[in-house]
Amino acid sequence: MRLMTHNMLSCNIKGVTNGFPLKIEAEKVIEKEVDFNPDFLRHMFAKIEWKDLVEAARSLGYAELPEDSPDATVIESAADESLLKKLHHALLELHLEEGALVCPETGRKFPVNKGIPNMLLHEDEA
Amino acid sequence: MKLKQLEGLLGDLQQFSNPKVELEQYPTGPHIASRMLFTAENSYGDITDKVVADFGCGCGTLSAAAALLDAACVIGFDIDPQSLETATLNAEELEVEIDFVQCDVTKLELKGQVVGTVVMNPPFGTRKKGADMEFLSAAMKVASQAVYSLHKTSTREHIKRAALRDFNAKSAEVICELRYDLPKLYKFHKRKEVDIAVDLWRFEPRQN
Repeated sequence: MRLMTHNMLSCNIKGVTNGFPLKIEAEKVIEKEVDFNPDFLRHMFAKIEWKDLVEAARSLGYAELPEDSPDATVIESAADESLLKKLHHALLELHLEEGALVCPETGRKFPVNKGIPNMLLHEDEA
Repeated sequence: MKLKQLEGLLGDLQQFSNPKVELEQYPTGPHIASRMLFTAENSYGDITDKVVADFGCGCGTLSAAAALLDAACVIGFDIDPQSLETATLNAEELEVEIDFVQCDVTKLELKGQVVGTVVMNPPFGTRKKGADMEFLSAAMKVASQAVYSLHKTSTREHIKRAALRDFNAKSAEVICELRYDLPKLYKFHKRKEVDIAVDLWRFEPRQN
């Protein structure tokens, strides 16, 4: 599971109001290169939760993203793509293979095995 | 990529080894899958460079098609772990990146407007009544750009009404009618194969 996916998942246990973002417990992380697509990343920048992404990337061992959300002009700039490359790496090239996603409100762990998070709820949680 | 090439690649994918009848697990054949995604991209620009979600992805046929048509990011959602294992193998075979999530899509809470397009071949509701509508409702909440879905032609009026009135659709169009060849998969199937008329729909959600 990559962070683009993690950035949209939240805990849907009945009654939970603060189920986002899910904390990450990483046991195995791998990196796989994919093609850099700067226009796509510029488009995505406005839609993702920056601070949550920074935290999630740190959980996967990647600390290169600046803490504060960059200015839109930096992202739009065609000249300097170094920040976009970091965003690309964080969103699309880091894979959580084994570990867990943890609900911030209840502490419930959703296991991640072979890269697939299991978000199925038990009967009493639905 | 040409349509024939896409169809060929999808035809090589592994399908359900032990399909579960209660989940209405039927493979989406390469003929339908290739045409569905090819149309979504060539006529509407809804796949290439977009974030695409596949609801009820099964063995990942539609997800694979989206990835082969250069979606920027593809995520397949399904409730069945065995199917997801097969889907993972299929993605590896094709050397495409697809994220898979095990969940009940009808109970999913997805944050934000990241997903652009949802593609799906949902259960028709023959085992669990209303399953087709639940999938459509869930998809319309998640997609910011378009939803592509297959439904029995016999439900056409019902689907159109529900989409426009209850599921926040700005538009609901049948793009084409296809024949879905279902081979004899389950013991209760009497005929060797059966041909069902299905509609390929394109729904546009209203901006939230």
